[in-house]
Amino acid sequence: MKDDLMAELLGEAPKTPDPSFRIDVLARVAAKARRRAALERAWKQIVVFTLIGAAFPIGQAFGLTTHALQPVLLAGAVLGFAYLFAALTIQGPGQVLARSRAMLRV
Amino acid sequence: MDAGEEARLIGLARRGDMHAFGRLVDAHQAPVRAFLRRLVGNTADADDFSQEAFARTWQVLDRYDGRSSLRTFICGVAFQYWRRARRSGARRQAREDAYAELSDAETGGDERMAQRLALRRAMEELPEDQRAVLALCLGQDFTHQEAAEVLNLPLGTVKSHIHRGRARLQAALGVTAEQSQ
Repeated sequence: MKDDLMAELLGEAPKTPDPSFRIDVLARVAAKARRRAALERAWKQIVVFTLIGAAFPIGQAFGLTTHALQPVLLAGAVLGFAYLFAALTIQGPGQVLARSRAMLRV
Repeated sequence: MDAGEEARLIGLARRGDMHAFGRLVDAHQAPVRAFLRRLVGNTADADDFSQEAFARTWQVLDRYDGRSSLRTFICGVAFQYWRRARRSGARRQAREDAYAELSDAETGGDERMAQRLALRRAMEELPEDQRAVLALCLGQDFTHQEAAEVLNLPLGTVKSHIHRGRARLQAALGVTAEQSQ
């Protein structure tokens, strides 16, 4: 028996490129990218919160009391709130901002 | 697709252009799917492996150095993925067995189908490398050199795998060496 016939019996190649195959591949690529991004975000959060959590015991181990750190903590808290406020203002509730802009245009 | 156009599309895909990668998928899906269909023996699973191979290729496209053809590179990725999945997949094996039994029951009497089943059983009994070499080279989709690059085997080993594997497949079909000449 010829090789070509054996190959055909074992499995044939699709005659023309199949668009649905391409779409499925691209959907998998996108899903993998989303999973990877989510994993990176999760790792970043873990690292940041671990560092925040570890800062206090490490500080105490080096003899820094909460009382001595008060000005630094206050400054950190103010900066944190300022950052949150700025982020909310810039990215903010989209619909509310869009409505406000529309009203201003009128 | 000519080599220049392919190189351009690879460059675009490396920079994240999904449209360019989609064109590469269209250009290379036929040989990759044919290879996996012959290797796996089950069209649905083979196409699943093929899609995964292309998706992994997107992730590792930076490692493609252009020394071999892109389809060779993709088939290499596909083969590694299939081998890993096969070694860890007792569940998949059970599904393949159930599928084979179902196919047997559905297709009794048809001579062509009987040949197909005999070939598939013979393929399943072959060692992994030999099976992959036959899946690549039987339909003349890949040269012996390309098969050696895909499977990371010496050329001489590929040739001997083809010779022995072909003989075993023909024996499964009841064809003697004289008849096959």
